[in-house]
Formats: sequence, structure tokens, C-alpha cells
Amino acid sequence: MAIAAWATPLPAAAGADAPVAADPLRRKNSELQRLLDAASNPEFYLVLDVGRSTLRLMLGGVTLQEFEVQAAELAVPRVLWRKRPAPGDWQVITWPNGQIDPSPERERIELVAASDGSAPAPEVPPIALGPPPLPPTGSYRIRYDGGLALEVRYSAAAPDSQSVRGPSLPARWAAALTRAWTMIRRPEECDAARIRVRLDREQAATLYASLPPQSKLIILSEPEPNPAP
Amino acid sequence: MTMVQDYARLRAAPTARSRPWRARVLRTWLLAPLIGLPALAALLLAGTGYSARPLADALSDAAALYESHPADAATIKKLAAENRKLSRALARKVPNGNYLVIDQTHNRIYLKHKDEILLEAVCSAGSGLVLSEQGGRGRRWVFDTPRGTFKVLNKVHDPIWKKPDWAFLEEGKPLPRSAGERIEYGMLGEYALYFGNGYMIHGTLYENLLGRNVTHGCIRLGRDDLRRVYRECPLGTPIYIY
Repeated sequence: MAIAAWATPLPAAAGADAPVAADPLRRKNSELQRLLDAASNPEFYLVLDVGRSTLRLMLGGVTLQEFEVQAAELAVPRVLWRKRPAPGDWQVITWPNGQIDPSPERERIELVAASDGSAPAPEVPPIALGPPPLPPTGSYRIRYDGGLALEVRYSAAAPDSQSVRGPSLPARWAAALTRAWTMIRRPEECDAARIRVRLDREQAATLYASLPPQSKLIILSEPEPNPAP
Repeated sequence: MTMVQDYARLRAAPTARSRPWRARVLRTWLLAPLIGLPALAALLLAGTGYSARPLADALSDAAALYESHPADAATIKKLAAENRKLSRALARKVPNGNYLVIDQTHNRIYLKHKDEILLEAVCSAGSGLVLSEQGGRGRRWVFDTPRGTFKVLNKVHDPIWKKPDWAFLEEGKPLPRSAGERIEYGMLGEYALYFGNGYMIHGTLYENLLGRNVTHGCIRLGRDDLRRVYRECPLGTPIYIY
């Protein structure tokens, strides 16, 4: 199954159709090489499979978790109506060193104990239950080197939440204005290219809590048709 | 007299023309930002941000930019052979036998074979607490379960726990003088699978705490699940922890 999913059938005819047939093969081989390189390293990596609408957390060639992508788009910065093109190689490189923003890391609880047993046992506080909560803004980003980012979007409000609400309308406008002003004044701080994916809220929360730091991202384009068994 | 009084009253009442010009200028400068700033903000928001389009379209367009090199049948055959070679190499990365995947955020362990889940069980992973030693050697322990790829290095039936120093400090007890004082039986359950650096998958006396991050870094399992994992994971079984 794994081989069938990635292998590409030999085209039936060459000659006049050769330029068209060769390019998809070259692209696919490039993707396979990136997957193989990532699987041969000890770091975690995400694989965004556009053809299958999935986002997979992987390590050493093994899928640890798979998320269903409801929508995916590429966003580039637009400053005062002027669009900037995405970096030329964004789709053919492995995006390195991903860091989640805002960070899900929580402050650690530290206990202090006397080495000679002269003090009573330190009191262990109740351990926090559950993974860290999602940001109330409706999205978080995984920022990679080179100004590339993967933005994960989900619904802002939890289905059963009544006390925790997202930002108010004036707050959102103020935040949007601040971002726009920052983009104008410091364009180098914008994301050069941003891939936005929409996940189910629960899956977004799982990814937010589970993704290790310094992960990579590989983008797979439309899959080739599977060969006949 | 009435006419004189009326005239005097009209003279005293200010008209638009008699208002000082400074007041007009001041009113204009006060009103202009109230109207102009929101308009400017709206313009900024409309013209600045991120422009998005479907990712599939962006990928197609990006692929079309690459120059098409004419290729003969031999080249295509070579590309296809390379494709098969890469696909096989990638498929070999997936373990042939059983392997374990541990999700320490949600405290779940999966026993898998290829893509099939043979067992999904509740476990307990590291608490993330930090214990600092006051006095003595001033040591510091962080009770995290490590992330990454590991292998089952050793399997033990009826494991004995040799209590480390942090276990005594945590209980407010002095460090023992003899090795015999460190031995405890039954704390680790029926079986233990070691995967390096002192970490193991083992049983627990506190099955009511399973599903919570409460351990000192090891993975705890319930009795029945531990029996199955011990039985179906030989030495060398890969373990993926995230």
C-alpha cells in the first residue's frame, strides 16, 4: 500500500508527449526524496498532502497522527494594495525549524527538597488535567525559518464554552490595525508566505498540544494516479 | 423704546459672522481627526493584509513555471526507475513487525502493525514537574518523558524497583546508606520493557491515575494492556514517543 501510494506508473508513450510526462515524474521524485531525507533524520515533521487533504505528524517514516484538512490556501503579504510574490521555491523545499506561536508551553512547577531529609516532603500540587487550551483568537501559527509559516485555523469559540469568549469587535479591529501598521512600517517581519489550513477544533487542539518544537514541514502536491494492482 | 431695546438686544446676540475665526479653525482641527482617522484606518485595513488563494491552484501555477525539459523514452524510464527506488526506500522505513506509538499529551499508547492499530490503551506519561535538591549536590531532576524514536532494549518479568535518589528526596527522607534500602518489590507491576536511560514501560499500583501525566518519566500501563504489550513486543520493537 505504501509503495503503491507513492510509485508512479511508467507512461505508455514517449516522443511528442515526453516533456509533459517527464515533469510530473521529476516533481514526484523530488517529493519522495524530501520525504526520505526527513524520514532518515531524528526530527519530527509534518506532511501536508494537498491531494488527500491531510496533514500528518511523522517521525522516521511512521505516521504518528493524521489530521483532516478542511481547506488549504496560500497567502502572501499585501501592503497598501501591493502584493509580494511568495519565495520562488516555497513548494519544493522542506520548511525547517518550526516553532508554534503562541507557544503552548506552560510554566513548570518546581519542588524543593532537602538532601538530608531534614525537611518534610514537598507538597505536590494537583497536576493540571488535559492539554494546553487553544488560543481564543481562532488560529495559531507554526513559524519556520525564512519567513514561512503554517497557520492553523479553527472556530474561535468552543462549542460548550460560555465564559470564555474571543476578543470583542473593537479589540479585533485594533489588533488588525496594529498588524497592518506593522506590515507597513516593518515589512521584513511579515510572513513571506503563509499556508492557511482549516482543521476541526478538536484536531487543531491536538496538533497544538502534541507538535514538538523544531519540526519540519513538507508539502506534497496533487498525487499521481495509483498504478493498477 | 421697544425698537431701541430690540436693536440693542440684536446687537448683543452673536451671529455666525461675528464668531472668532480661531474657534472655527479649532473646531475643524478637532472634527477632522474624528472623521479622517477612521477613514484612514479603513483604507489601511482594506489595502494591507494577506491575499489568499487555494493552495492547489498555487501549486499548479508554481509547477507550470518550471521549464519543461524535453525527455526521450530512456530518460522517462530512468525517472520511473528512480521513482520506484525511492518509494521502496521510503516503505522500508516503516517497521516490518509491531511497533508502539505513545502520545504523551493525551496519555495514549498504540500497538500497531503497519497501518493497523492492534491495541489502543490509556497510559500515564511524565508530569513535567521539576525537583530541586537543597543542599547536598544541588541536583535538579525534570520528570519529562523523552520524545523521539526508541527500541525495546530489555524485558523483565516481576521487575524490582531500585529507588533512585529523587524518590527519597520527594518523600522527605534522607538518602539511604546501603543499596538494600533502595529495593522495592511490586511497585512496577508484572512486567517492564526498558527503552534506555532508565526509562521503561511498566505497570502500576495506581491504575486510577492512568490517563493523567503523573509519572517521573516512565510510561505506566494497566495490567491487562501491559500483558499484551509485553507479549507482542519482542526486543528491538521500535517505540515512537511524541
